[in-house]
Amino acid sequence: MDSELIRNLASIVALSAPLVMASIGETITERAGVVNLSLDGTILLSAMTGFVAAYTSNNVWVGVLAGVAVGAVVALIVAASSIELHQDQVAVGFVLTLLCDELSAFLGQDYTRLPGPSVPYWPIPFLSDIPIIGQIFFTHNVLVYFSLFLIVFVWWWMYRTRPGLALRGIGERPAAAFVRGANVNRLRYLYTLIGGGLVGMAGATYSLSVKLGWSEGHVRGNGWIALAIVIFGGWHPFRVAFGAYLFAALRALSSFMQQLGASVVLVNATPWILMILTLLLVGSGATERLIAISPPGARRFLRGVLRATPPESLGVEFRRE
Amino acid sequence: MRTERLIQIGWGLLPVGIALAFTTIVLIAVNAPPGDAFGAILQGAFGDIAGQGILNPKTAAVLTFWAPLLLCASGLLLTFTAGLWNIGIEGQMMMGAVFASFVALNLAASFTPTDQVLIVRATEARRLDTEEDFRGFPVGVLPGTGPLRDYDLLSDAVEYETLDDAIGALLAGDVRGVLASQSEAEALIADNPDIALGLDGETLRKVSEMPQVPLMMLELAAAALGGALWGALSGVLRTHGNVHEIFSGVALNSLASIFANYLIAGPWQPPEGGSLHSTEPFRRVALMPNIVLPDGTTLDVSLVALVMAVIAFGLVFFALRGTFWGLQLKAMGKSERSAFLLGVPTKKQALLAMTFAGALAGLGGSIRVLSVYGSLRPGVSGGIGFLALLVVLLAAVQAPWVPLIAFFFAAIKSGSTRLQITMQLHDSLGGILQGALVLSFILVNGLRARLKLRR
Repeated sequence: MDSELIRNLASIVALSAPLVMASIGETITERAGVVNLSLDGTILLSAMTGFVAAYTSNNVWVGVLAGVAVGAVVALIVAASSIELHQDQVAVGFVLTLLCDELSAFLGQDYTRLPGPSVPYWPIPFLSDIPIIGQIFFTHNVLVYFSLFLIVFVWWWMYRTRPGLALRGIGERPAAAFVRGANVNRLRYLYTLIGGGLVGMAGATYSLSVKLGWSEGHVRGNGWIALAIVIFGGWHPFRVAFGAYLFAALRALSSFMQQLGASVVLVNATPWILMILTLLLVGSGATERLIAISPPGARRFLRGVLRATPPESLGVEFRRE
Repeated sequence: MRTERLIQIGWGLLPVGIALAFTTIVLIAVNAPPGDAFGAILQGAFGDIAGQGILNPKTAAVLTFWAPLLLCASGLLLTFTAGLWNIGIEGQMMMGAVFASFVALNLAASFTPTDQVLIVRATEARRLDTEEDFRGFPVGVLPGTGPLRDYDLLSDAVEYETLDDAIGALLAGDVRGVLASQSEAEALIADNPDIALGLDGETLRKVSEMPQVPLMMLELAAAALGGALWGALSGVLRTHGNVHEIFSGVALNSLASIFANYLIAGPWQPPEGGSLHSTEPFRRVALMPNIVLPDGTTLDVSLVALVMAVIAFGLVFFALRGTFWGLQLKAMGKSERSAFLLGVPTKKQALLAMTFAGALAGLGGSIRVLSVYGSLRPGVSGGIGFLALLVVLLAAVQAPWVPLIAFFFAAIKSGSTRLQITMQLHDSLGGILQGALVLSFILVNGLRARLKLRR
């Protein structure tokens, strides 16, 4: 493999880190049956807060923690308004999207376009020496490694542990999970907060690692893309992560095309056209048809890889009768 | 009985209190005096009502926000009633603005080459070669040369008895050019080395403007069409592609704004080059006329815009209250599945609701370009579509409240632009107040229902 390709792949892994965190975070939340629609605003607010906290304390980790806290607080509002107050999650999430966006613009107004700290580069000893794999995955900073760890860990938690089974249960059939002893609403709080915290970390990762610094609305749009990736990924950590990387790769490709002379309009429009096309692919039943015409031996495998049905009780509140 | 009423009012005011408290905390966090900031918003929204009356420039600015806001909110009443989250309203507005701009730029006037040319002094011939060079300068003409405004950029005419008089005046420096027929000019220039051809008949085009009323009709129809197309696209993706309208809406918003930016910076640039931040200003005839008060002062708000918004709201109000269609939309909003089982053609009605909402938003967009800016610029929708979503949420999808809440929100939006000027504060403060108000309204509603349940 030539070194330029390796460098490009490595940069895709690094650039995707926040998108992976946010979409995996939202996957956890939605698997528990809660929709946190506020991602686009949360990411902006936590990117701003993360940058300002790191800038004023001169410590990036304070910034990361601040970002996580912002994400968790926003998620708490979503969870409480749904679980305690029985209000529409979509409405609350949408209002929070706008509110957090405006808050980031207002509170960050004195901190725009300042040079600030960034998360230090730290290639993992030994692992980074492995040819190709090491260069692609292990020559980054800690936040990028965390995004990689997150994919595997969340998959393991969901599909290989007992609490993970409960997590899937409260999103699919909360009543059944309740009968089996799961405290549905407490778990929904927990996973919404964790998911929100990861979204907040994604915001801080933008301003401290991927798109350094802060300016008004500078990462706007990524939250919506993360939400779409969760659907594209069929609420499965591996497929969601694949979606995030695919997305970053296509984006990198389109900006490469721009260097070759393609118009900037095309580059700007690419993410949104991709978003519509991928959701159309998932929604229109094209994948179901593909499964139906495939040879019987491959069907089971394809169904596992391609199916995308939302958690059955997504957005439905749980009340004990 | 009386305490009951007081308690109810208290519950109604609680969200306002929470929103104000939250905004105050935000202001304190950036070391800004909250009282001054709220005062600046009020002052920016209503100006000097005591001195200048209710219709002053500031309230006119509020009404200019109110009209497109009410149009969008009216459209959203349809979609929300049908249970649809039309977030794409912002892009629908943008497309309305783009379509209206297309008509305003291309159909407002047509140009034809003439057999008339402009003669200038030979020393200046190199410098004076566009129409722009003559704007505001006197030009010599002969008696009987049609109205000068036919020649677009020529504005100031001085009439001379004979061509020789006019040439004399030109050489004396009294006028910048002399209008003559092609053949006369050729003969004169051959005789006199001191004069030369300035503009030929191709450049010096005769302009004929379209009459204002049909032009306005076309612009509005185009705007409604543009918005309707964008709304229908979101609707079709939902009904036939199973793509949730929130996601298609978000994507189509971005695509509309990218498309507009592309047109502004690319194909819609004038050939001689212009600004990347705006198209050419539209011709006067293409703009919505401003209101002129009896005492002769002009207010920067258009009657066309206001009337359009009020009619749209009235139609939506009537459609929801008194028609079968409205009833079907309501049934879909309660439960799309039950409505379908009861025989409501849910796909068709959802598509119709999205298309109508898009058309109304498109008309809202036309106000932004034809009345507010007079040209197409990036971000011309200005967040008004999103604001309309907040308005309808705060009205709990109840139509009678919408005009009032829209006015209140328009006042905050218009008023907060003053923050930047007087206090160097970001104008997003208005958005924070609005967002906090809607959020606390939703939460307080939930709290109230929960307490009632417990009792």
